[in-house]
Amino acid sequence: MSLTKQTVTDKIEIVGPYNHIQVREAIQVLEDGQVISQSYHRYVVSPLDDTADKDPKVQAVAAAVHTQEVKDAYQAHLAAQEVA
Amino acid sequence: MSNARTLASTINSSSQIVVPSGGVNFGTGTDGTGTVAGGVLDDYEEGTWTPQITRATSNPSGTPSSSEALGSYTKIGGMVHVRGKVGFNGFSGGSGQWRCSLPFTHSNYGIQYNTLVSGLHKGRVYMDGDSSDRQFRIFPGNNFFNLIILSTLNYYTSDTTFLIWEFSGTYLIQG
Repeated sequence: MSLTKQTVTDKIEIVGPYNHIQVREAIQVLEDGQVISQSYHRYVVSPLDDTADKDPKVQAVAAAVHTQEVKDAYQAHLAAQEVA
Repeated sequence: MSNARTLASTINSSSQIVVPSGGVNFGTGTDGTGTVAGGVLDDYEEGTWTPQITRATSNPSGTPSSSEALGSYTKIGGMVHVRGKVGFNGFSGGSGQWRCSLPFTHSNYGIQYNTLVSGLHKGRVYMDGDSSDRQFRIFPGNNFFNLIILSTLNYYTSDTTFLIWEFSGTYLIQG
């Protein structure tokens, strides 16, 4: 019997008008290659975030959906948010 | 008429009801063939995320002498409840609004502030001894919350070398 632990990106969602990328990681414990326990960990990548340390799959999605147009629109969206 | 059947749900060895897809329909008044919009619970999830403190213009530099960042969430349909704590000692520099990351992006609908099912509760904000007159807010379409000065309704932008934020709250997420 051998126990191992691995983290896999198991869900990538693109949401909202600024193409935020919602990423779910599954943290899995395996016994002889079979998943016996699993928990989730999440993060969100906005159009202005650096993805250098992210999963290559997430980097590829970000490169596709975070165009300069989307980045500019999101930047304008943030700049327009005033406390009231 | 076909006799084909599809597996709707099962009960597993842990006595849990497993719904493969489609969710649980709480709709009433249907004839059993349709679905009432808004009456289906199609997602439930629990997990963690790492609350990350950033600043809008430039982030603090250096390695904190101590830090902790713990966050957990419960997602029920289109709503998520978060609770967490983040603390740092040894910040230097940076400028702009203070922000903290969230596990899901806030809905793009709602008014400009307090667009939450219930506001993010400020359990504690401690920044260089300053713990009063602060509020957390999530703005529509963002994947973070801000620290606000309640009495002046401005973003908190002062520098600090030490902070503790504790928070909990519920907000609507992007569908």
